[in-house]
Amino acid sequence: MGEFKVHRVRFFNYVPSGIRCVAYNNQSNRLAVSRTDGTVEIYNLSANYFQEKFFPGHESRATEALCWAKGQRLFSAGLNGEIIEYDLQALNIKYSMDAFGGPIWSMAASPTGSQLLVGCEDGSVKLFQIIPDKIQFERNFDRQKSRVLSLSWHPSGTHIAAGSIDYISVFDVKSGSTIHKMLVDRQYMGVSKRKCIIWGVAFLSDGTVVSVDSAGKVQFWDSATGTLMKSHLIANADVQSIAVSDQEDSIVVGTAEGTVFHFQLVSVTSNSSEKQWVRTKPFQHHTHDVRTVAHSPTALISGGTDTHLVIRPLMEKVEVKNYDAALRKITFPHRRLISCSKKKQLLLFQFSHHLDLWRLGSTVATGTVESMCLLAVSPDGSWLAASGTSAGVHVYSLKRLKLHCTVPAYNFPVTAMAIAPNTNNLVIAHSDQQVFEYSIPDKQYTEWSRTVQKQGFHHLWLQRDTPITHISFHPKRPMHILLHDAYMFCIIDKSLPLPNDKTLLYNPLPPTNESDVIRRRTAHAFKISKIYKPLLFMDLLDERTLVAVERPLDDIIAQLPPPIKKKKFGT
Amino acid sequence: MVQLRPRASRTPASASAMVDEGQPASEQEAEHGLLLGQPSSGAAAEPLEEDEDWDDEFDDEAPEELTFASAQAEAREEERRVRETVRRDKTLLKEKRKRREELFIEQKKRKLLPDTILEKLTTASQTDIKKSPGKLNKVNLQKKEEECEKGSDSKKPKVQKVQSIGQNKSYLALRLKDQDLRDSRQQAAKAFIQNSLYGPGTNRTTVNKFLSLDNKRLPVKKAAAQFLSNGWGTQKKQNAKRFKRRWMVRKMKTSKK
Repeated sequence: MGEFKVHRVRFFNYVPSGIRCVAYNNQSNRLAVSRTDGTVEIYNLSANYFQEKFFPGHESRATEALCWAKGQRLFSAGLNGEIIEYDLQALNIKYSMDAFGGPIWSMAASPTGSQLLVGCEDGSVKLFQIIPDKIQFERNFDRQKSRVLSLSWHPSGTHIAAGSIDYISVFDVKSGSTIHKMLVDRQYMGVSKRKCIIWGVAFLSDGTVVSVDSAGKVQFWDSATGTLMKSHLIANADVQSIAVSDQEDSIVVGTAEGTVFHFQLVSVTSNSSEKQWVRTKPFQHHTHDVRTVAHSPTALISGGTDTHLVIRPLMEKVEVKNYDAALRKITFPHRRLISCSKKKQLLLFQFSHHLDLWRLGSTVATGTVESMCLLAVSPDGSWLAASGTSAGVHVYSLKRLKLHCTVPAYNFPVTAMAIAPNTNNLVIAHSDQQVFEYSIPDKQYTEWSRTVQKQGFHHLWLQRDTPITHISFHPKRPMHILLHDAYMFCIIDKSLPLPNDKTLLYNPLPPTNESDVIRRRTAHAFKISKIYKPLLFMDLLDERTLVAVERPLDDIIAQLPPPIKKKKFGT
Repeated sequence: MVQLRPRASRTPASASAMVDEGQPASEQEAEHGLLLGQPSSGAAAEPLEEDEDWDDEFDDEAPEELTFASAQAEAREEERRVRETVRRDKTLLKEKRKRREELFIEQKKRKLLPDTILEKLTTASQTDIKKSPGKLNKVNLQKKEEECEKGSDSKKPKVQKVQSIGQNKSYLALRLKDQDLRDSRQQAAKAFIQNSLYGPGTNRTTVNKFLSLDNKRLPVKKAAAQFLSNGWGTQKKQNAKRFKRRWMVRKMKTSKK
């Protein structure tokens, strides 16, 4: 393998922006996530939680609400007063429509998916009809005194609950008039001075309205009589988000302290049919405000100002207890934000609004705007491989400027691609941690790749939860492939035998300590090192030098907005 | 009416003329020796007395005779002249007013949108007339404002308006007043959320303190997560830097010498 000099780079000041909204789509098992800088990301939860689509954002399009509608259509609304529809095929914005109510605070799609409700700054609740290719304004509901911060449809589509400041209103959809106005108690830590903001409401099919507010309460109201049934005080800070499961037997709420609480409908005693809502599990996976939560059939999803997306599968819902049931925390981007020029010793960092060009050893800064795509060019300049949203990687011949061949489609998206310098083999890594090697001149998978597929990868390799983001090659050693993900980098030596499930995948001991015989027996193709983490990028500069760009989590956290104070005994 | 002969001018020039003429003037000079002896300022200062003096001299002689015809002719001339001037003034005023009107019309025309777009809009509005009976039409006809926002007046036919702006969608007409209103509302909304999440009354702390809580509770107490404050004493540091640079330069100069 050889020894390398390593440039450890830690000055890439990458700070992701906080998560503002999440929306879960049941039919396609996809999650849409919008951030405070306006970017919208789509994660495919069945493809190993891979981020497959990405809409770069703009400050003016900062979203306050995100929702899915019928036919896999994604809508978002923000403080600029516009409703935006995203085109998921072309990866751009289809259109944006002004709602003429001032900044929009909340949006909800009807249970049938054909109507859209928005709550605006001026207190009006507007109903839009979703028709193919656009949306159309239908009518206004009764206007409220203060801004409408949260909305929820009754599952039958007949009533709506709207949370505002200090009160909740229940509307009748057909007439558009308020039926009930429920006043919420302001008291927060013994003081009644600050206004009580209703951050979230949820309407259940039995007529119960669940509300979460800035005083730290979760309250259950009866919408038929307009009265308070039960109140739970769960935090000393705001409770900012709420989501209900489809079966309506579990609710998840997120607080400003970073705690996520799980409420479940359980029977009062083991035999009785009477049920009540009980707070069951607290989860502390966040350090800052949890501004949004979502409930999928098997997991609780939460995201907030600390930029992590946490997916917590619920044990009782998961059938098979395997690795899938563990917690997933998505912190680092799944795309490559850094490129390296080997000859000139330059590094290119991609920020959201500008690019930074650094020379290893000195610094130079520039500025433009760039967008992302997954391409790979062969070093001798004769082939170009491109992977898009459709299945299959296309290889184009640059000399003749036409399609050369297509790698057979695979059901998991591609996370990284590269073309080897001399042999012109295309190495592709997928989101389920499979690695394929495809020979471009021969138009078929290589022998080595077929052997690997037959034997299968080591189980620990398949259980890594971050995708491979970069692949590169050693110019003098064609048998080596260098690849890395966020927590490890690995050199695959194709000449050595492949590990089977029984061998140790990670070799902790350095080679000199073992005797020759043992080394020969245990040596296998995958040489993995976990020294540098968290890794954003790693590449081979020349024969003797590697460059590794790390991003310690503490540096990111140091630049986040202020969290809620935690009182600890003795400090 | 009897018209008297216009009197001779009593400016100093006449005095000098009389002096120049010598003998023939001397008679008159002798007659009004008092008057001519007076300085010229006197003539201006006391014209009334002089008039009377002059009149006294000429009152003995009969006034010049003017025939009625000539007087009448003169009178008619005067009237004609007056009428002419009045007419001229009137026509001048008329011209002025006309020019001003034209200028205003032109300015108004410049402010309106070019005719082609107006045509398109009126035709487009006619096609949508079923959907939005009165309002759209009114908006199109009363287009005396500077720029029009397509959806500003009525709330209902929003979608139709947005799409009825002609075939080439390369531009969108906006009213600047609305943009200011929109910005101010957006500012208010942002201020509201900033205030409710991070404003007074919220229980917030800095990231440094948050991360250092654990350090405080360890058996071996460690320092805070961000121990150094980079913002401290920036002015002092800048001054020190400048001083150091100057000192180095001075040192170089002296060492060279």
